[in-house]
Amino acid sequence: MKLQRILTSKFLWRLFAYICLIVGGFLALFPFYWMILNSLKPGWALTQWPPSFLPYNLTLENYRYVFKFANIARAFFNSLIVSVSVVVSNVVLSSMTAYALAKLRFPGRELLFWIIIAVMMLPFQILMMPLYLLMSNYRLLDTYWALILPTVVSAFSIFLLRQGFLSVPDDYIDAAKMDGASHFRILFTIIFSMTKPIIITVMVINLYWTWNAFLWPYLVIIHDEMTTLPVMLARFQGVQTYDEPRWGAIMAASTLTAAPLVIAYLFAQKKFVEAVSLSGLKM
Amino acid sequence: MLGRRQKWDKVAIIFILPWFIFFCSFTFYPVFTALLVSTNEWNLFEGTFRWIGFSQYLKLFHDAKFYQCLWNNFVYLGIQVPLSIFGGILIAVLLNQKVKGRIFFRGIFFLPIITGIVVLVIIWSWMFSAGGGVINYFLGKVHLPPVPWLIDPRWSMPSIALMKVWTDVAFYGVLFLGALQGIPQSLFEVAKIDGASQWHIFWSITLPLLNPAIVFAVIMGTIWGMQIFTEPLLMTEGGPLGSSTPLTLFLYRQGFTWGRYSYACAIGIVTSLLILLFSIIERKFIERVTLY
Repeated sequence: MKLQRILTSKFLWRLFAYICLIVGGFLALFPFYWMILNSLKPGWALTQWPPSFLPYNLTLENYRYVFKFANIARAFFNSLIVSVSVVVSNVVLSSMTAYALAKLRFPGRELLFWIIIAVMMLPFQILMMPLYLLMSNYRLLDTYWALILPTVVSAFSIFLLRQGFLSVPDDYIDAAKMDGASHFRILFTIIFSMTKPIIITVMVINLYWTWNAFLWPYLVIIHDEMTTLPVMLARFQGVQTYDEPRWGAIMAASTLTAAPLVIAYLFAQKKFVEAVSLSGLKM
Repeated sequence: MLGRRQKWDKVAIIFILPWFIFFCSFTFYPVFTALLVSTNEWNLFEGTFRWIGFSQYLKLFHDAKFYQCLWNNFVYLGIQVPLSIFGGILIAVLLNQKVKGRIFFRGIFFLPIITGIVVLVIIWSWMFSAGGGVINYFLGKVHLPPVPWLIDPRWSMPSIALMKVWTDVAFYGVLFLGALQGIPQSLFEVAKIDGASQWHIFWSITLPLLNPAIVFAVIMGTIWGMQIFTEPLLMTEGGPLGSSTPLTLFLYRQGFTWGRYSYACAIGIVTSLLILLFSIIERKFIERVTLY
């Protein structure tokens, strides 16, 4: 009798959990489905009322329109250059400071660590105007430099890498020093090979931030040839909704913008979830 | 600490140098510029500064627009933070069950976070549209009146907040899931043996043990909420009637649309201090309330 009660309550609970998960999954996916579906609808079907929710009469005309009127290939190339630069520079430069903080002895190490924590917490709002004026004074607006420089090293990358490097036992470093290895060699061969997961995490976080960044690129990029994908999309939408919205084309451009990172996510879901959740620590 | 005679690694200077140069030029110097520009009138053509003291700050504290924007941020926070934390706890509890396809569902819930905000904002702007929007279509299906989502001053900020619940909820879900998995499984088993119901277990074990994570989530949600920019800029341009202009968009308009650099710097500094202040208050307050 009692056993049966527990069984039924457990069964009901499980059923409830599945229903919630499926409803939640539907809610999470529907906007994406709606975007892709409408990017494939012909013009007349977009304003149809009631709207149709199933694929019917699909066409690629919206995608053709986007490739014709938006320089999406160039924007993709810009995003790629900026993201790769930021990822590489963060791995090299941030890990150097992180190594010094974790494994080298020098006066003021504690102070330096606290400065890095403070910088990590600094809201972008205070930097927004002065950084823009700085870029404008040095004639760097509309260049890759303006997009890359403010994130070329980040306090957060240093913080994460330091935590990772601390886990490497000092014995390995001492042994390498005995063999006459320089600190550079120790860092980029021994430490890197022993802390691969955190290095990859830092790469994913920086890729994610840079690829999706909007506010800063929006401020410093004026000409269309220099836009990154998100800025291009925002401008394309602005132009398209000016007189008569071509929602099909806007949805096609959105799909193309979202695709690269989502495809990467499909292949490395676990790593992305782990890294991006961690990125929340950077207030 | 280092002993007086202990040698220190001189090579550390080289290792720190890149970051130090970066810090001086892209963090320290801009913060210094913000302080300088906010207290001086800057003549761009002559390159001269004229001391104006804290007049820009006084102006800000007498600017009705500033309080309206601050209020808009509060409206957003009041809706977005509690709802996403509530949703996040729900997701975490569900994914913590022994159900099949947990990784699959986590992957789906996390998809909005991976997709860039600009894409999401554009899809939602269209779904929110008053006439041909799909959300109002669904509301009509269940016999509810259409809602003037982005075009009514009372609805603009809540609409943005609701969209942001959808985008961020999985983030909180994963955060709480991590906290849940840190709770020793034996605690639940003991409670089950004692005959506690699922509901009782949730209230007396799960929730109290999630407390530190909830404190963290509230602070993080507040910091993010104080910084929203892209969503109102692209969805409503801050309107109608300034009803969805948060502080960062206010800063942007003053500095970048009107070229009031001093004022914009003052807004940036005050906003940053407010963010700091709120996180301190929240930490103190929540810790006091939930300390058992």
